[in-house]
Amino acid sequence: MMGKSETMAREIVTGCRESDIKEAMDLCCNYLPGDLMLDILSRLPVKSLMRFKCVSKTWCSLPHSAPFITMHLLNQNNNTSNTVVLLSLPYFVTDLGDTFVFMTQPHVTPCGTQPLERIEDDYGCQRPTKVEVFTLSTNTWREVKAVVPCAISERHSVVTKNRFLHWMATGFGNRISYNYVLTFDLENEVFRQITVPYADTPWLETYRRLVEYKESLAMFVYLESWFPGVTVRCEMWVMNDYGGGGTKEVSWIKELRVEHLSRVGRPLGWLNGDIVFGPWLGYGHNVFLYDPHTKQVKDISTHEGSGYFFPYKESLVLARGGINYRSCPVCCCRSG
Amino acid sequence: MATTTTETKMLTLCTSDKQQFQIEETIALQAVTIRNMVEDECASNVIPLPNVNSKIMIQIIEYLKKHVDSSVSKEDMEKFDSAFVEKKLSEIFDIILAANYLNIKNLLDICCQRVADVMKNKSPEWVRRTFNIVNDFTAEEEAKIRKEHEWAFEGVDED
Repeated sequence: MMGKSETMAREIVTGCRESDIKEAMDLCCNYLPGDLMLDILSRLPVKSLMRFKCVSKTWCSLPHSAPFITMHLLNQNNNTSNTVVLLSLPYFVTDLGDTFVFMTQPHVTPCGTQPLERIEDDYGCQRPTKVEVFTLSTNTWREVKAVVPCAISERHSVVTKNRFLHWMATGFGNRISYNYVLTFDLENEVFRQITVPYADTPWLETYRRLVEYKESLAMFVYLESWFPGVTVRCEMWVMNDYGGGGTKEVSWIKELRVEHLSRVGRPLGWLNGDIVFGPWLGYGHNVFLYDPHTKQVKDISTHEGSGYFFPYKESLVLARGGINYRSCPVCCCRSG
Repeated sequence: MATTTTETKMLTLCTSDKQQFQIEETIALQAVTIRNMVEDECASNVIPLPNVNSKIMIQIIEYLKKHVDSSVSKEDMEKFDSAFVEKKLSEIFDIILAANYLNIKNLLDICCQRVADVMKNKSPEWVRRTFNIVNDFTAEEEAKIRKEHEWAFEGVDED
């Protein structure tokens, strides 16, 4: 909730233009010019900025002004993240700039109730997928008319590379479901599906996740033995540089295979050269780190509670009111 | 002079307190403002810098001399930079103003980062004192905001 004092302070930074906040900062500090003061403040953690709201009315309104939020985001993106968070929030915004993409999409499961023939006809999307884009600077929603060729299966894991968003997705053909990588081109606003490799093993594939690996797009494939509770395997495939979501053929290279893992859950991502594994189903909420060189597994759990995994970057975006996240969004946004 | 084998072009910088500094052109040209001046008025080789005093100029030259040396490894340069910004904040403010005027991006960058690092765990009172900012809240308003953001006050440095 916003207090009366904050409402008043917000009025000082009128119009939300960058020149306005510079001017306001000029007036409140006479040691350094406003633009330099803003440069310094945009390097601070969110916690410090929230504490410094007590400094003065101008400082109080700063974390709510769109130009400052953008400056802060850009500065935080320069710092490489070495922290992860596990959140139990229903939805999450990864953010890199001004535009957010939200999709209200039918899940794969409702399709199961439809006759199979229908599924073959239209890739399992009986209900049309609605794609909406939210632009922070103008505070507006816009619907995108784009055909979504397959259904997103992992909506909490999205990887942004250049102007493309990538999700794990499922499509249907020949009465069998197939995995794909679904890409969305933020510039041309088109979707495309990319074929993915399958592990050459009789093991049961139960999970796939996209991650960023050494500046490339990579995919974890999680394999369980047919005898539950014994061991699991994990492979990671790296996609070649395919020039974004172009029409060029894509190839995948198997970068690593981890075997003889026991009682670790799904692979979630990389943290300082180690693979992060989630909780082993039915055995608590522990999170694990696996070092591919020493092959050692370390339990890094600090607290109870499971959730979604994200490389952590601070952002003021959520501090600003007015965004209605709608129901069931798949969201992400554009860099640069 | 018969013994001279290489000829290094020198520039003279004149600070606000009328001190003159003779430095190699390659060192001085790292400052974009100086480079523009040299390119625009090739005739004069005394560059007036009315916004920088000699005390700050000495430190800026120290920084530029180090950074023009391409043989210094990335690691050593980072070590130099972090030692360079170990100064009182008032001095860092002066260097920020000079680096901004002279347009030396890296120097401005490390100094702004230094200020952010120093202030990030400080109290709002410290910030007001350090930056000379007037508190325009009533006691009541301030208490309210403080209460709304209580979590942000955990682990604050003693003043």
